[in-house]
Amino acid sequence: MTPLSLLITGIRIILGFILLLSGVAKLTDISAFLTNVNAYQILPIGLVKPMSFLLVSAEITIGSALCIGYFSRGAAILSAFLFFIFAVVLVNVLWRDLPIADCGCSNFLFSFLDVLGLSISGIPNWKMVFADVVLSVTSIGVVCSSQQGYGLESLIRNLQDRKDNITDCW
Amino acid sequence: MQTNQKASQRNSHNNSEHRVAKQILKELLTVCIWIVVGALTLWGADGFGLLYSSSPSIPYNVSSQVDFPGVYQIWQSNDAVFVDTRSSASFRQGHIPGAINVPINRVVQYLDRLPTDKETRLITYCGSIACPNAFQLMNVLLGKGYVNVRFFPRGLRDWHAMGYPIETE
Repeated sequence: MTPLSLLITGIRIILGFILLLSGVAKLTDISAFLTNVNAYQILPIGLVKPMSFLLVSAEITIGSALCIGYFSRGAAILSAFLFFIFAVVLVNVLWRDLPIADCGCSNFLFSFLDVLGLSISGIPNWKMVFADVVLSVTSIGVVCSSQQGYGLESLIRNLQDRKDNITDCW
Repeated sequence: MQTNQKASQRNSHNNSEHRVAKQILKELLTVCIWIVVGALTLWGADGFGLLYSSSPSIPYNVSSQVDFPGVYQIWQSNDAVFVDTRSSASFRQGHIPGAINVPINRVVQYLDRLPTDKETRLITYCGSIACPNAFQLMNVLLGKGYVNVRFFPRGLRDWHAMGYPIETE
């Protein structure tokens, strides 16, 4: 158990929770989320629903994979891509000066930063872009780290190794 | 001898890197497949009406719309203020008579053109049914405290096609 493994595990679980909770929140109020996606005026109206479903599914799947530590590197690459896309979309909205009252992108990290007085939630702003870029870079860090931390994957590998060792002894 | 050892080390290092890259690619593809499966499940659930309040979807929520012939009757009776969400240039070229212009990308600057009474009946419209701005502005105005706002999804093109009057500046 090395400090780096513990750090990577912690970061991975936090990233996973951010995505998972955000996905579940969107799923429980899907019509509000559809309205938010529509308000960005990026997708044609026919694509709003399929893309929203894809996004919700991506958040829940990637979040779960990161939390339990299974397929975590693949999930971390997609998480980096997802946060990067969020940042690009927010920059686009800020550039066009669209009147969006709720970005529909709040997650527990933003809520936590709100509690700290950074008021990041709600109307799209540059702080959100910065936070998304940081989360994207952190995800890349998880992928590139030499240690993969602890999770279901390492547990299965350890059990497999132990089984192999026992077989070798015999 | 030493050269052989180095070459063998390099080969084993390359093989190990290759294996890791292959593993990451495999993980990536598996997660992607799960994401698509999840999205299709959501799509199916939505089709069966299992997703909370997703059907009918908000953009076409009937209660927030106003359509023909009601919209013309409202205009005739002067019962509502029409809000044109298009650009000022398009507005000058033609609009529903009596409408006020609040371009969707300049809502904050143009908000003072709206009636101060938040109970005033407002109807937002755009160029055509393909334009989502009327719906957007309706939501913004509801957020600003106007309680009686609806949108006219067909827009100016269909208003004109029906032979109703257009005002130009």
